[in-house]
Amino acid sequence: MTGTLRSSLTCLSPSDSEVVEMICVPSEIEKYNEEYGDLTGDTGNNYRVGSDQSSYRLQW
Amino acid sequence: MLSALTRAQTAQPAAPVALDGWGRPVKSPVTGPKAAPAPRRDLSGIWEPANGPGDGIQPNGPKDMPSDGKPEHTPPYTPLGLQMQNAHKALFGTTAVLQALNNDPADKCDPLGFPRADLFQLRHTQFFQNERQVVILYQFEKRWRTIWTDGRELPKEIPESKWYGYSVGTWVDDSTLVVQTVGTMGDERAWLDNTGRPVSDGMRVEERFHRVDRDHLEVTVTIDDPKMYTRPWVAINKFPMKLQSPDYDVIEMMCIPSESEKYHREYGDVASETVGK
Repeated sequence: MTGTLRSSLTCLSPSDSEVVEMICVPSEIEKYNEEYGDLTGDTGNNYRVGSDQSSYRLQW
Repeated sequence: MLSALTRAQTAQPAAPVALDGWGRPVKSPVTGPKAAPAPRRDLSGIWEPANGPGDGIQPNGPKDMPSDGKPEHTPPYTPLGLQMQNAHKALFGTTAVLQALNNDPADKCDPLGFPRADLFQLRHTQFFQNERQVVILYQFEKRWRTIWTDGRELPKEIPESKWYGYSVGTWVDDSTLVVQTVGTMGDERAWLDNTGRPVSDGMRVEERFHRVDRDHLEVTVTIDDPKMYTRPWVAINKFPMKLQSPDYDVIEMMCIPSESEKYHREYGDVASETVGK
């Protein structure tokens, strides 16, 4: 989550690396919220997920 | 008075002025009395459906294989393919369902994926290229695809399925690029077209981009998916596109989940009679 996608502007320059596909899929967000998001009382960037109830903070 | 009335009766309404993404009047596409020859191995430019934007929307399925009940337009389904087709509740085609009953992933603004990007809402399509790649920018959803023309082969084993797959292209002559794509999503998350034709993880799609002359492009898309169809079939055949002015700014055209949800709530569900009147 903390990496920087440096190649996003290089599509027109010669390179043999394809930019990784990274698409927000609404139905997957909806599914995530149903399965995990609603289990937490957290809001904002805090999420508590996983069977061990470990938590992490999304890094932006 | 009479003169004014006569003028009012005979005056032609002003033709609507088409605007581009910057709100500027659209210039006529680059055309002349006779188009110049196609540049060698070059698809660069902004292309639009030659017969107008309606030609590329393809609401009822690919232009040359619409879902209209005609036998010649019915894909050669395998038993599994037909089963999957019947499980897909589309909003268009001969088996269309009411809004609230559909299960089209795109109705939630999920990505169209490939090849549906060619077979639904094919609008302005911009090509960039260099010596290694051809990059296609689609107007709808503002998606892009990379087609590798550096001589690499398609992956023998797919590292990970992708919405827009893995594509390689080969110039078969100086004006025709043939593109092979594999590794698309291959399940119910992505439909082949707007009528719910199915795809599998074994699908291979061939696109043939033939630049007829400087101003005209033809696109042919062939589906080869042995799990879903008993033989390859052509979805669009020499679909005509014409070159747009180079200063044309492609209009933003996005699917917005919150707007889609609002539409369903206010109109779709009511029209489908799934909520109280």
